Amino acid sequence: MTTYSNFSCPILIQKLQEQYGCQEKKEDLPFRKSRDVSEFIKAKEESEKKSHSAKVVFK
Amino acid sequence: MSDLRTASAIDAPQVIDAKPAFSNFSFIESLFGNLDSIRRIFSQVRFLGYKTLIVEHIESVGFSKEDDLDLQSEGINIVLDPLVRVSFFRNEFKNIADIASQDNNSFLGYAILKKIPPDGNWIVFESVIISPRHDNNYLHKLRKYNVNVGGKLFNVKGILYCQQNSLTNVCAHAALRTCISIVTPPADFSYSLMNKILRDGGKPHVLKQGLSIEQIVLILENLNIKYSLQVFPRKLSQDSSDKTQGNEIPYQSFLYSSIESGYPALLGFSLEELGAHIIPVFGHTFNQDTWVPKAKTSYFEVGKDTRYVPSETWVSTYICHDDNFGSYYCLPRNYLTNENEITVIALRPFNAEFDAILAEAIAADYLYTLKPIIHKEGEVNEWAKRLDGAINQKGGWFVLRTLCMSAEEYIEHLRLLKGWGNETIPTKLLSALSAGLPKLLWVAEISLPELFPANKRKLGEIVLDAGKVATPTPDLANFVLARILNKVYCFERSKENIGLVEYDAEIKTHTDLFCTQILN
Repeated sequence: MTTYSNFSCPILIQKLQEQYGCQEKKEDLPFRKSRDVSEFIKAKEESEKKSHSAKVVFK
Repeated sequence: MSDLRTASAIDAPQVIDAKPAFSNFSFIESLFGNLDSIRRIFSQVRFLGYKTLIVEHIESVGFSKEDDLDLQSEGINIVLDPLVRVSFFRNEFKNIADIASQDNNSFLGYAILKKIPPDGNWIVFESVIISPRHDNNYLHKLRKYNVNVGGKLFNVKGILYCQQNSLTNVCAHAALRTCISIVTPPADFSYSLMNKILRDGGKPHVLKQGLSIEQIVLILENLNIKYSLQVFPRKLSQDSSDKTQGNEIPYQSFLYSSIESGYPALLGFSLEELGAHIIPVFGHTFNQDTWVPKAKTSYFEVGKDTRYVPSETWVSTYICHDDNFGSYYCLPRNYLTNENEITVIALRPFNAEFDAILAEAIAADYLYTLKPIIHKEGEVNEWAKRLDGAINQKGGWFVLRTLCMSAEEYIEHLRLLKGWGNETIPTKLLSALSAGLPKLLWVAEISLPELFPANKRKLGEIVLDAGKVATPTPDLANFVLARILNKVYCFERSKENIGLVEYDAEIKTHTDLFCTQILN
C-alpha cells in the first residue's frame, strides 16, 4: 500500500496520483551542500531581533 | 469607521468651474493658505483633467470627532469651524442639480480639510484620489471608498492619504492609518483607536511626541498584522551604494517584498537635525529599459553559492504618500543612502508565516537543487537549455519575482497561461493541483533578464507553503512544487536524497507573469 507521509506536500501528491496519474519517477537528487540559505535565514532573524531594540522615534 | 466621507453638507454645495482661467493656486491661497499637501492634490486632479470642483462644509463627525475628543482630553481647545470637503469631477457642469447626473467615471476623488489647534492651520484630514495615470505605475491593491457629494454617493478607488495634527497624532500615526487601511476590511482606522491600543498596552503616546518602533509594532500586533522589521543604521563611510546599508539585504528588498504582493510597507528615515520621519510605501514604477550590468551589483546574494537577479532591479521609484507633502509621490529607488538611518516595517498577508525575502532565498535553493534535472531537460527543450545556461552563468543570471497568493489565485493564473505556441496546461492537471494545494502560497516566478522586463514573461515558478514556518534546515517542509516549462516537479523525502516525481504540464515555452490586481 502506498503511503504519502514521506512527501513534502503529501495531499498534493495523493491528488495528483489519483486524479492525474501520469507521473514519472526520476532519479533521486542530492540535497545541496551549500548552507547559504540556512545561514541567511539565521542572520536575517538575528538582524530583525536587533532591530526591535532600535531607539528611533518618528515624528 | 470614519463617516466624514458620507456626512451630509451643512449648507448648499458650491459648484465651481475649474477650467482655465480658474487658478488652483489662488483658490487654495484664499481658503487654506500655504498648504503643500492640498496644492499637491489639486495638481494631481488638474493633470487628471478635472473641470468641476464641489466645495461643501461638513460637521466634525466620525474620526474627526474622535480626534477632537482626544485633543480636549489633553486640555487643548479645538477649532470649531466646520470641515471643508472638496470633490473633483472630470465632467464640466454648473449647477447643484447636475451632480445627480454624474457617475463614478467622472469622479476623481475628494479631500477633507480641517483646522487644527493651536493656530487654526489647515490640514488634509483625509483624501482619496484615483491612482496615478502613468502606465508604468503599479499599485497592486486599491481600496474603494464611498463619498457623499451634494447628496449623491460616488465611489473612488485609491489609497487613503492623511495628515497628522502634530499633537495627538504624528507622521507615524498617519503612515499607519494608510497602511492599516490597505490591509484591513474596514479600509480605515482612527488615530484615536491607535492611541487607545498604546494606552492599553502600557506604552501611551505622549502629546506632541513621536512614535517609537516599539509603539508602532504594538499597534500592528494588536491588529494581528504580520510584518518584517529591519533597521539599517546610519553609516558615515564614503560608500553610499544601496548594497551596503549595514546589512546584506538592501532596504529596497524589504519594501518590494510587501508591495509586490499587494501589501504596504512603512519606510522610516533620519533627517538631519529633524529626527526621523516615516511614510507609507505601497507601489512602484517599472522601467522595462533599465540597464542591468552583468556584474556583482546586479545580483542578490543569499550566499556565495546562491545568487540571482531580483525582479526589484527594474523598479525605478517607489510610490508613497508623505503626510507633509501629499499623495502618490514617486521616491527614487536609490534616493535614501546609508547616510540616513533607514527603518522598514514590511507588512505581509495575515497567514504568511515568513516573508517574501525568505521565500525567494528558499526558492532559489530549490532551483539550484533542480539544476541537474533542468540540465537534462535542456537536451530536448531549448528553453530549459537557456535556463540551465542562466543558472550556470556566473552562478545565477536568472530572475526571481516572489508573490504571495491563494491557491485559487495560483490555479486561475495557471488556467490562463498560454505558451508562445498557444499551448495550455491540461484541465485535469489543474483539477488535481486545485484539490491538493495548501491555502496560501509563496510563488517565486523564474525568468531571464532578457525575457522578464521587456516581455513580462517567465519560464516557471517554485511554489512554497506560506502557512508553514520557514526553518533553516533544508527539510522540504515548505516545498510544494516546481513548475518549470512543461514539467511539474514534486519532492518526496528520503534519508540522504530527494526523491523526484514529475508530471507533464505541456507548456514548453515561456508564459505571462502573474498579474497582481486586487481591489476590494
